[in-house]
Amino acid sequence: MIGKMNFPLVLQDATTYAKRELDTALIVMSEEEFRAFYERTSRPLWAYLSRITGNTHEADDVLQEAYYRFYRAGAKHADEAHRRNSLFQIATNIVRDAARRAKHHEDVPLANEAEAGVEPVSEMPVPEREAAVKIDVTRGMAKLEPMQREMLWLAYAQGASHEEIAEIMGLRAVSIRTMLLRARRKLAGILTEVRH
Amino acid sequence: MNAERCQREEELLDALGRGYVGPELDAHTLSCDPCGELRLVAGALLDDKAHTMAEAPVPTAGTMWWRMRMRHRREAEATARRSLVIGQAVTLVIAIALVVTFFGEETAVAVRHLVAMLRVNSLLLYAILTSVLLAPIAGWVAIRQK
Repeated sequence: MIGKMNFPLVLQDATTYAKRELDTALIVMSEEEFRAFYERTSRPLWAYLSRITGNTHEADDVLQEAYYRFYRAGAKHADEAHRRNSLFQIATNIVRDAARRAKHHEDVPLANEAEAGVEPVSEMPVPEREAAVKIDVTRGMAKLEPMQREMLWLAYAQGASHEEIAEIMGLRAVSIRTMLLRARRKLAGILTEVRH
Repeated sequence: MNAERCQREEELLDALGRGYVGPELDAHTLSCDPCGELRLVAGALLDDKAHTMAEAPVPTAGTMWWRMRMRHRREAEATARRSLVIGQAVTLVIAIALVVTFFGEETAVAVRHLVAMLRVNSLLLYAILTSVLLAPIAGWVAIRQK
């Protein structure tokens, strides 16, 4: 009942305050800057999210939430790489928080196509072969620990350095090398098994 | 697969990133376990990234910008509204405290006298007191709505 009531005087003040807040946020990142940054990062970020969550709908939601939190934080970044890492860090934390709440992160559902049987990759024409690679990766990533998925994607798909991975994942840089090697070995084993 | 590190892993990663692995490096990956493993994993992930990015159903930059602005404005309004309501509640409490400080004793005596006169039971008394306390708040809300 109270939630449905209108308070015109209060709203008028609140709107003024909100506009002031909005103006403050815009100083940090203009619309043009944001658009350019979004064009450069949205697709790589969505790809990262869809692979670490194993769920395209969750990737959609997290993408929007990540950009909003990034924008709202209004932090100034030294360069493009730092800005991008900050965005990926926010997105990673959102996924982890959601997984902690839902407690289903360990059992990532496989995509429907990944469930289907596939013929050996080397015998396929190119489009089918590309689709098979996607299925392999989907299936392989689903068998990894969440942190292993994040790490492998950042290192090899994103091309992030160990320091950048550490920054995004909130880990110490010295521990990345060993963990990455272990994750790589595991995924290689899975892919080899799937392809033969 | 034995996965010790190889000195040429960085070179291989660069080549995979560019999309072309030269014949010499290609031959190396066939004889080097770590590089073979890296090529298998990084190659698959890079291919998958290319396909996934091409199919990514992301909103346009303009849509995202508009959504963020709307949400930011809504949240800022909610925050401001909350602050104002808290401020008004504090003012009300202070006003009541001042009334009680200056007229508390007289009011208490008057209320006791009134109760004694009415000889009502405690339930009815609570109902009357509640109405007396809520009436100014209801009035305040009504004024706000107008």
